Amino acid sequence: MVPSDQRQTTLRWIPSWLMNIWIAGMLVAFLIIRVLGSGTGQRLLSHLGSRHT
Amino acid sequence: MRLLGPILANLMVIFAVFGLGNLLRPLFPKILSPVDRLAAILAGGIGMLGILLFLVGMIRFSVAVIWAILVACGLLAGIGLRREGELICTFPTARIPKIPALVIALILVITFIGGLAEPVGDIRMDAIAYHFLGPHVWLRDASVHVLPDECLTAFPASLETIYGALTALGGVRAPNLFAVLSIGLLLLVSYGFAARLGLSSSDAWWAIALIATMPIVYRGAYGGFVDAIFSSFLLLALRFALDARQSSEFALAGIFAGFAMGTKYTGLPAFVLILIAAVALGFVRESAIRPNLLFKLLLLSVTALFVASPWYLRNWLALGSPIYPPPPALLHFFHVKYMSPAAVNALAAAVRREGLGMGHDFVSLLLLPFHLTFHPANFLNGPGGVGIALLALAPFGILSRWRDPFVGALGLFSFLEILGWFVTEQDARFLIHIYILLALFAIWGWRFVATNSPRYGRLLAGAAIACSMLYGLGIIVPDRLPDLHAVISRKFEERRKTDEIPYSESFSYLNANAAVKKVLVLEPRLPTFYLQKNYLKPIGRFGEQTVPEENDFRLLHPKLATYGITHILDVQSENNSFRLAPGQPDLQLVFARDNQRIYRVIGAN
Repeated sequence: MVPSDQRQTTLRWIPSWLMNIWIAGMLVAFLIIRVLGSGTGQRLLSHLGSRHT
Repeated sequence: MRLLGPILANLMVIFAVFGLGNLLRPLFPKILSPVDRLAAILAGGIGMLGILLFLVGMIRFSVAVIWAILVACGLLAGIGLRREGELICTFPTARIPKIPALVIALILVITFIGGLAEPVGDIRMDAIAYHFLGPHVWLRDASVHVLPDECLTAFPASLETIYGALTALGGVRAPNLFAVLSIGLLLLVSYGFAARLGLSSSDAWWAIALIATMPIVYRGAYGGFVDAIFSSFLLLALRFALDARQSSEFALAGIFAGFAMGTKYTGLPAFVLILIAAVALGFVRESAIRPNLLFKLLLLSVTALFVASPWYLRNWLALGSPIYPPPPALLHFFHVKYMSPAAVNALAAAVRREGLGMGHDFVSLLLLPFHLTFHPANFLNGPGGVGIALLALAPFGILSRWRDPFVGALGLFSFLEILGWFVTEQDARFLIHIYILLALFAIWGWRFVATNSPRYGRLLAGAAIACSMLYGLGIIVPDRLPDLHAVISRKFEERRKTDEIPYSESFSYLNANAAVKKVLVLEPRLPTFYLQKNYLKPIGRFGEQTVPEENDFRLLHPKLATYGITHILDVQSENNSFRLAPGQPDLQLVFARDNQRIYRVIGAN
């Protein structure tokens, strides 16, 4: 149902390093805020001897 | 047997759903993949069964009637299986990627086992407060009717009538098990949508695995929540409306839009947005808005309104307003029963307060993607969130596909939907269909990044997908563990019931005592779902007033015989002390615990 020309990408103007920085930034922020900042993350850090609160 | 009943009841309903859904086949587009056909048949069957049970149930909602409906619809399934069998055999099973398939299997197994648990919890749980309460009372009264003491049971109830049928056939656990069909259907619809957007079969599997592990999406699929089915209806309506060419296809889109409006009030604005998106797409494709398109969209609208009309007409006739409880603005046009203007305004204020999210200002709108990703618990029903893949990858997927007019129409629909959600009630569950669309674009983004940055980009994008799925599983699995434990251990199940059902001793006493005919419930927030006897609650939790005397016992006392009250349940809650002083005339204290008292009305029966 989808013509093949619709699948062409149009993002040639975004440099790959910018994409990588964006994804890496989001990933790190997520790991810090949602994973390490969560109760499970806190317990894990505590178990590992960290003083992270 | 305690587990077999719910399983058989759900199988029976699935057969009936499949049978009814087959009636829609003549409206299907000529080219429709087997997955899409199955999704449309199941979704259509659910919508039609809900309406059928509602229409018949208003006359009679007994076990015999429910059996008759399900058996009749099940017979249709036999015909459908014969016709669709070959197509179902052509399901794309050849190259299923192992990891997403295993993740989805894990989610479905957890949902299946957890779905066999008996519902527990207090009135803060929507399932206990109204999703399961309505069916419970309708079955006891053998009639689908308004519950004046709980205004939320007047919501469109396509799924609740099916919950009633499931309860009748398989007991109180059966509606919980319906979650398997809810999440399964949502994934089928999402798979079809992914294929429509041009994703390969393998990518579509990754997309639905990502969707299945989004805690907010999963939360909308179990425990009585109707959001997953609602989003399935909406996505089918949106897709068929945007792709429709023939009148029959527009009518099909209208039917699914009608089902969505017959499941949640939020289907009303979404229906309007589907029309806007379809007009915009027609304009882009044809460089003009042709009268032919407008005529077909009129057909879509009439179909949708006709399909949804039973719920709204019933409310109008029985409660005074098609939308009940009404938004305050409707009070200028309708005079509603059981709720004073003050109660309606208080409810609206509570909705606004609870749906504040992280603010309604412009900056909050700009930051919304970050807020929903990093601080989902600040939104109603948001805990767990949607993972990081949407924010990290979907922008690339959207930008890479933006030239496709179909994607543009989806973008317009999504933007307006998010905007409407943002300025009204920011309940995270209400955007499930948007998260699904974003997940599909996240997979597109993954592929795009991997192609354009084959070294680091591929690694990072893969890590974002893996992180999202693992995080989601880390939230979902522990959340369901108590349910799994309760299914495996009867001892734990009993302990959980004692711990999590408020006033469980009183419910046990009243349910087991044959002399109890009708109970006067004085605490508005008492979860009457657990009461198997007829009851009268003079004041509901949102200020619904079911009798003129309200909760004033001096006025109620002389009317007890008139109302047929045999027992009174008086409890002490967090906010309220006992309402009855000891030594009331004509009342005998027959049961007492720390925070619970039951009185027998002397001379009743």
